[in-house]
Amino acid sequence: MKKLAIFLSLCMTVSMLAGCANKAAKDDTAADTTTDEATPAETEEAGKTDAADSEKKVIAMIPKTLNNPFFVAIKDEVEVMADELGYEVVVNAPDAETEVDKQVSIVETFVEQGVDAIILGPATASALVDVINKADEKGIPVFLVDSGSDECAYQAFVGTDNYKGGQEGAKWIGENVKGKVVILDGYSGNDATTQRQKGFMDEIKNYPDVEVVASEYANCEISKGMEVTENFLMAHPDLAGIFAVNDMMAIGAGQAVEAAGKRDQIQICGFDGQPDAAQKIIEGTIDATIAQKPATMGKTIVQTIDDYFNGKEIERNVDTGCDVVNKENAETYLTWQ
Amino acid sequence: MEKAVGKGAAGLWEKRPRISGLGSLLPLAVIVILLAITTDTFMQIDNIMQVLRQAAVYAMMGVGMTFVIITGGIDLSQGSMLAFCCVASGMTINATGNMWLGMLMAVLAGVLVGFVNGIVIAYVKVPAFIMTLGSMYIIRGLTLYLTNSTQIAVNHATFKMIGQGFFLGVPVPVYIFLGVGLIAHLILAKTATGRYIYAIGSNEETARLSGVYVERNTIKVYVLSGISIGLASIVYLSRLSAAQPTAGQSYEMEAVAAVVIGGTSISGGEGGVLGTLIGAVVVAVIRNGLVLLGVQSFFTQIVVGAIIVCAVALDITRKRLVANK
Repeated sequence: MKKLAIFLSLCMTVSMLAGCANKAAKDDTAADTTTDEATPAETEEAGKTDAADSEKKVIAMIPKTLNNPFFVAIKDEVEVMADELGYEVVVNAPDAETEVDKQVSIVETFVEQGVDAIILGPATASALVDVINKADEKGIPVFLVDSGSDECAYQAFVGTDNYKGGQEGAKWIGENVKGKVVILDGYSGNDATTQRQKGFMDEIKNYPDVEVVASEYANCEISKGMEVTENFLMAHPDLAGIFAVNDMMAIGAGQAVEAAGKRDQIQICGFDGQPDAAQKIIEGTIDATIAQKPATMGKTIVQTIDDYFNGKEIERNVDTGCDVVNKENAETYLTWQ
Repeated sequence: MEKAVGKGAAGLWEKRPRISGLGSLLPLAVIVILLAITTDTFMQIDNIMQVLRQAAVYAMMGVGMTFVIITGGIDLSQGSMLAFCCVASGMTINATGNMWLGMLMAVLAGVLVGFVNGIVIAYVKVPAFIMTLGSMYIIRGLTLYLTNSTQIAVNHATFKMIGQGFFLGVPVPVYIFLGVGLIAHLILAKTATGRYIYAIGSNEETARLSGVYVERNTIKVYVLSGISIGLASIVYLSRLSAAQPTAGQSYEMEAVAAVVIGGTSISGGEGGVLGTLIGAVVVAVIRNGLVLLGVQSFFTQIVVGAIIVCAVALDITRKRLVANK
């Protein structure tokens, strides 16, 4: 057994050396094309018309996680649009939004593989900066979706103006709730949810009848949302409203409130516009949500990538907008917008 | 690796030191060869270096876990400790601007938690599973409290190089985890403490009756686990430039995976650090390979779980065959 292990290790070493030779060969061919790098748009355009049928460009998509239907909705639309425009899409993501280093590792691997473009939903605004810059250095354009990043070399951001979205949430709560309100926040570093919380806090000041008594992180998870809400209900028996920065947490909160028998006393507003949330609004578990447009995000971002490869001008910041969803229009939101 | 040729050399071959854990080179080699055939990116030197860099944190956590598992215990608080050490380190670097102090703080934080774990397990005799489960929650809560649940950004250009830089073409974290592994191996294989650790894992009562200071050495292994987490947190923090209080959740399981794939028995008494290093590399290779193969992320979980079971089954079967000869 030991001898077999040693033999296989030798095979491994030989393969690695072959890999080095492979890289050396690739470096030579890369050197030839460096003169073309100055005008990537032209090269890409020429490449596309020449090899339009034989070689599809590969777009790698790395959302925060695939355990949230919101990100799956963006992914689905990305795949549909990419298929229409003639791109191949590969998707990979960590199992939880908080596994930042795993997301970094996945992006690094795609950069190493040399995909043609990257769609990224950064888990935190700061941790992905270096790998985005690395991708850019390697000539791979990075397009951010849904959640932003600190300033670095990305080509465009397509998503909701989360700050404005938070303000919409505050307006709804302000108009529908009087008394104590709590916030279910995402997690630290998550740009999208942090912006929503900020927008909410800034706008709610215009509603003196509302008092925000607490704001806690629930990691954007349904179970945590439920747990934290149960604790809030204990701590603030006269609670009147809950604002959750994503629907997963809002649904968890709704279930906790129902279980405590306080459904009539408390108004709940979520964020995302999940079909599940729309269903829960119709059923009465929660009251409202601020709907994002993940399908629009997916469509727009692939369109943006296509424009980029065709040398057209692209907008660095695209706001896909959001809507307020309540019992009256919940039917429309049973499908992602 | 020597080749067995000639009668004279055959004798040397028989006398070569038997390093535990090399059996795990088998699954690694198989996976590597498979990936080399099915993808054209895996075998490129840049990718290999990246994989090794990605394995570093888990390798070091695994090294600490190896010590603990050999004594028959387990350290479930490793994930929470990772976050705690990152935060302690990050706060220190931000406060003093000195990265060496920050690194020292990371290790001291690990020593502190490890020491508390060790004392309770050794003297109060709370089972390791229970005590470290408790500290897992306590340390996580403490970390969230210290940071007010907010991440701590660390912007120190030189410090960043530890996690992200290269030295002579090899990523810096690789040197670190190999160095840590080597020192750990020497402790286990060449020192009295190492022998006591194996003895305690084999049979605690017999060890005690033979004069081994069981309590002292038990504390030592948990402190060693803490130190390894402190070192792992340095690499982790410098890779992400931000200390997140939510970091490392369930990472102790990654460490256990690295340990068992590496051939160390979960029931204690045998095994080694070198196997753990290989085990950590196996997991990193699998993760990397599956991304390169364009496979969906949930599949990674399935594969890692399957590899754990297969690697351990292979190892147990091999030992049974040897025992039956």
